[in-house]
Amino acid sequence: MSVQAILETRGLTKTFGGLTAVKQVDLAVAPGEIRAIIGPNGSGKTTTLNLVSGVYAPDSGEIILNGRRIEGKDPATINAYGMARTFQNIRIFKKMTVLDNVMVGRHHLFQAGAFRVIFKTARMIEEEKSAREEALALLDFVGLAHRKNDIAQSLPYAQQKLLEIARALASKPIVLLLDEPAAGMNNQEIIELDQVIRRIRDSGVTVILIEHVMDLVRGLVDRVTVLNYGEKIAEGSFEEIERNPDVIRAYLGKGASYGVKDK
Amino acid sequence: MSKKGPILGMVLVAIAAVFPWLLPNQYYIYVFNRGFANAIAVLGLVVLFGLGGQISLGHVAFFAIAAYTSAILAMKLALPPLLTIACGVVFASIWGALLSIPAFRLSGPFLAICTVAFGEVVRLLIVNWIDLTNGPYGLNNIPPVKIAGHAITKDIAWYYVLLGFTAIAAVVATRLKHSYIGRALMAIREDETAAEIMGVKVRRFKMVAFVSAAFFAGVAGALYAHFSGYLSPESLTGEQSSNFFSMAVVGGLDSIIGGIFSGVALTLLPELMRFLQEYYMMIYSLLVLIIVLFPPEAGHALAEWFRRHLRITGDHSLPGGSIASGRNDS
Repeated sequence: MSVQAILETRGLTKTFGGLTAVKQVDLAVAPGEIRAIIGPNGSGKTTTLNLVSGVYAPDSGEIILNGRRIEGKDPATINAYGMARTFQNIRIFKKMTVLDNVMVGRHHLFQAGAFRVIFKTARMIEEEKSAREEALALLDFVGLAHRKNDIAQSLPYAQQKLLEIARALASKPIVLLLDEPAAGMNNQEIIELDQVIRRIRDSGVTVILIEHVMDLVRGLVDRVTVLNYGEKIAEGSFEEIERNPDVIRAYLGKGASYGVKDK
Repeated sequence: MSKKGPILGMVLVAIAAVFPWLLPNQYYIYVFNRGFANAIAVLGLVVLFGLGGQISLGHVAFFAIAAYTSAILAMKLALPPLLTIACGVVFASIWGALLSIPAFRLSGPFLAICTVAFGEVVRLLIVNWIDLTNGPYGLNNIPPVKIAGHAITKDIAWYYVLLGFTAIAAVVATRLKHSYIGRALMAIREDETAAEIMGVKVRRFKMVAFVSAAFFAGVAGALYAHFSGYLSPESLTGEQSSNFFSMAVVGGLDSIIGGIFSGVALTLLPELMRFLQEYYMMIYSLLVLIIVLFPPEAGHALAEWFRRHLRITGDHSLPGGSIASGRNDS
């Protein structure tokens, strides 16, 4: 890769008991790229995301975000360094308002201490006001501005997923990790999601997504990394990997509707 | 926070300010004073449990630590009570920070047991450290607070001091709630992992929650020591912790105005229910249970019951619909 990677892993390894969930995985994602990580269930995709976002510490290997080593750091610190993510099973703050959810995403950008909060200083008011404006702009970005005062759990499923993306974007990430964003969405919602992810990329954020919905992956991503049993088995453009016999055997399958019918 | 908040607050303070003139006797003013102190302590639980989701069934311990610290410093070292109150609050807050350490790892019932144990340890220390606390006999003649050379001894004067403190505590709690600090605490309550992923340093904010809890309970306890003039471990038991907890629950858990109303109302209630004699505790517990089991509906039902009940007895001293209005207004 000619450009220096914005997110890189080298020899990333994680074992749970006797099971090696992620084994010597090397990833290099270029700035402004949309990267998909695909593979069968249990292939280590989510574990990789958990390692990169700090939920787990790797047993060995390095993770470099924008030139900074982050492996083993806590998730809050990694978030402040410029990484945000969503979860496979939605983990919004259910009983908070839609707007407050996004405002939490912005947490690490708040400067005022408890003293300024209690005495409601001008700086604190200003900070709160601009945070609110930015959060509203993000809700507008994902098309949820009209629901800003609703309790988050009252949103339909697809909108909760979009809210989670808006919350992640509120921390102004350099790299955004999306864990199965299209799961459970209908076709129309997937088309909208596709547009949202493109706009995120256009705003300068590098996007890495785990996805099983190949209709989304095919048109959207620049490169695909395929994992199987915790190891990287292929990497390349979608067209390259969908012709790769190892990938077909492990994941895409023969005769599946992935444009490999006649092979 | 809507713009209605401050106006509502000022109206409530104004209503509360004329209240003493409507009360049938002086004793009720003292009961109100205790109610205000309890309300301030309940705000600590609103922040800790209502916002932060961290359970504490030993809340009275912070109240007791600050009360005894302030009383002992004022009595043995003859320091001015305003200074000793501040010392008591700081000391209680330090213990709040220390109690947050087990909360880094424990949650739910495990944390609850830990806080119960903390409450018991503090109570037993007070009972047994006789040289310092006078043990079960309690401390008598705790010096009153002096403001500008005038000792505040009358209950009616304390009423206004406590009303002022309650209003300030409400403002502080409201500002915390509607800031990034409050949102971080709520995020921890909702989903610790997601909160951490979104940049919230969970340990730091659990500590913030416990220190706030201890701070509010400490303010309440230290003031209590000086307006009642008497402290005894008898009133600082686990039962009082449960009372604080009930008050927070009845108030709507994360509602500041609800917490204050229920803190005052559930302090007055026993006095108004004296005709029930020993059945009081049973009825009281039942009411709280109903509210816990069926939150919104039961709140309205209870408010309705109060309205009818008060009309029958013709007693206007209690803000009757307060529990329901507390729930609605916030």
